[in-house]
Amino acid sequence: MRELFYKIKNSELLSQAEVLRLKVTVVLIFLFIFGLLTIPTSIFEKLSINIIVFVPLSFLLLYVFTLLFLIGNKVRLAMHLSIYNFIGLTVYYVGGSSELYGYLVIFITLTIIIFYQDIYTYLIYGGIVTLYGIYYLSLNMDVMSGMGIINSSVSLSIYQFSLAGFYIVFLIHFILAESFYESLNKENLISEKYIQRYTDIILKLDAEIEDNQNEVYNDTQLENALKGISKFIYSFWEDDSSKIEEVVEFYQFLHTQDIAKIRNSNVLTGTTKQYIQELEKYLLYKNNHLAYLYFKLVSNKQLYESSQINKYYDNISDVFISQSNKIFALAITYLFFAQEKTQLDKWGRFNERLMHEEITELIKSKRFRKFVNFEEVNFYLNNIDLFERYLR
Amino acid sequence: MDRNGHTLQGHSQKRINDYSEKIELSHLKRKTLYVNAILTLFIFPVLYLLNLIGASLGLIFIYSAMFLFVIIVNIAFYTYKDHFNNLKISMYITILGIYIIITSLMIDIVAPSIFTLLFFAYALVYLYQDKQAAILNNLLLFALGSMLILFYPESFNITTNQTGNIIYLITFLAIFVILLMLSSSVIINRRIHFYRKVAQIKEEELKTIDLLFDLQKKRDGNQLDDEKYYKQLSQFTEALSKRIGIDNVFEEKIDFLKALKSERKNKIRSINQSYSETDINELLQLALDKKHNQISYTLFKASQSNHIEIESSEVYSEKKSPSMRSIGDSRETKVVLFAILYILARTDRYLVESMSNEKFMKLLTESDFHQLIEPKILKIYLENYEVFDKIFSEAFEDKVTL
Repeated sequence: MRELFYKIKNSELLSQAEVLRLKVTVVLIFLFIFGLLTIPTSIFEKLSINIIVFVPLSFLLLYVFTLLFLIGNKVRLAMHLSIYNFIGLTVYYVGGSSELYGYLVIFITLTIIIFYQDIYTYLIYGGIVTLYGIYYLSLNMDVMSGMGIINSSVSLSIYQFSLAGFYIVFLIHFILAESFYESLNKENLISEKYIQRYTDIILKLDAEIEDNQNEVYNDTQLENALKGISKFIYSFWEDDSSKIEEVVEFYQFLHTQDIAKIRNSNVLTGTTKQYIQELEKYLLYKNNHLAYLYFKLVSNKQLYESSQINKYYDNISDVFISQSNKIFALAITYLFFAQEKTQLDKWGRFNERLMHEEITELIKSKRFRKFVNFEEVNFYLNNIDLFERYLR
Repeated sequence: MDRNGHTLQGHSQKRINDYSEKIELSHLKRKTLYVNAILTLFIFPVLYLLNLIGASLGLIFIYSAMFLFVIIVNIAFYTYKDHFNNLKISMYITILGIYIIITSLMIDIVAPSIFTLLFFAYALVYLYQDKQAAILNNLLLFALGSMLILFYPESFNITTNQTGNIIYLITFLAIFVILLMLSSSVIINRRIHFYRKVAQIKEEELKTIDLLFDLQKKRDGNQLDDEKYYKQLSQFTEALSKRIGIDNVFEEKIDFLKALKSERKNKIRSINQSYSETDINELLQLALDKKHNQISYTLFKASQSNHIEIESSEVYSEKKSPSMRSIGDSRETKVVLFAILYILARTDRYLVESMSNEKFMKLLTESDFHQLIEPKILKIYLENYEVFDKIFSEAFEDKVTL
């Protein structure tokens, strides 16, 4: 239980699959409490013996299957089963003698579906439950209006309005969250792609200057340090260091191999192939996971002292209010592209400047709208000859 | 710590926090719009209901005034200033306003059906997806619902077995509130974490470009020829002014930028007294200083934009960024990965200068990087960092015999 609360508290660190598993677990706990509270009351209801036997039995069966699917890592299926179980309980409860409580259970079921935060699940199951609730209300209005100053048709409208309103507002919430998440996810993805590109350039710069691509296998200092540190860490788990030594040697050996070729070899065992798959992400001097992690670590040293950069921005035009400064910024953009080395040449060296035609193509491209506004692009196209003549 | 007293990560953290807040602000603005749109639509059924039960004109006027008050407050805060706190205040006023209206309706029209409007109010406030708003929402719903059940049981047709029915209704309410509270807690936590992640990756972008500039400088030396740049800009702006038929307003700016190079920061204002603070800040952005000039970072990013492709399927898939605690990796691989990363950081690699053991530890603990490391391995390192240093030093002095 403590672990469950810990996971809920730190749910931001879990993957989507792990969060779903957590949610199904929570729903199962609620389902258990809810079932325990509601099913025994069927003894007091005027229901047929078939229903009294059938309902608890199907509840138990569905519950056990949900649990089994959860344990068997079929979490999505477990989610659907837990919803079916709640819908089953709703129908059962609505069929009982407590109409108002039946109506409230509809809200509980909608809440369970909302809890999963899946737009399609909500749209379908939530929609069905809401329609069922509205239909049920129209059948049981006389007994549900209760005491008060309003008549049953007004009461019916309020009940139906609350239920439909509840469903629609949450639907708006899902649509809103989905679209916002999508745009942020895209922003995040684009930034990751840019970092990948910068890492690529850094690696090319490195390869140009230092001829160290093959040093890993021959570097005894690196080998000694790698073995020493790995053995030390591993000793906290196992006394026998032969396995970790073997993995270190294999890691170094992989640097001399064509991974694509050996991966498909029939001679290798499953374990070896597994290690190839794991370790190839961390080989040196490649734009891989290791490079990502290394540059992420060392880039933390950068820009410590700089307070001149105070925010992130992409759109150059938006930074300037004055029109003349916008034109100035556009001229500097052209100058930067034309004079600074920003591209890789055909040999993969970071040595190339953009040509006038390439700059024009880039500025005209749809992707560039993120950096300058349409008005500035038009200004550039109208005065393209001046840009080329004076700023190249 | 720098001259202004910021800690090692001070400026970075400030940028990250500011950007997270900016994302949150844009989200809050959108939510404020939606809540108010729904609230405006809600006026009509409420007034219709009051009319149906034959409410007096005075009562109808009071309800209309309550709705109008909430909406006007929202419009005022929304348009007054683009500031985070204003929208937060308007959010709290809206929440209280919604619940006051519903409570008044429950008191004026004592009937079980009115009770269900509380759920509608709850859903409306849920839209905000804010931690404090969620707590307030759950508390208000539970308190108001319980009070109604306890003090007006007759409105629920509760005449027999009173205690049992009351317990049942409160249990329903409790389950409803707890589930939705858990749900919003998970969503809000993940949302805030995601905002921060997006801000952090922006910071990473900036720092990686900075590293790239450093490495490029190491290879090429300082290549930015500002004299040439300003000369070309001067010729260009002169020709441009002639073509569009205006005075050359750019020359003065170029002179200012040239003078900036030799002036100290606190003397900038004395270069040209006629410039306002905004003018100076804008011109500072245009100064030609590749390192530590924000526009260079954006321009470099822009120069790479033709190499960036995004597949629409990538946007919808959950892609985990590389980490040292990947579930798919064996314990041995994680150990080797930490060891190689430690060695890379401690030696001159990828044109990056080596760092001391202390610096490495500081980077792990003071940045968010430690979140990417397998907890047990991190603990082993932090508790034995001197041993790591010893093994490393001995290996690189060729003293280790294996």
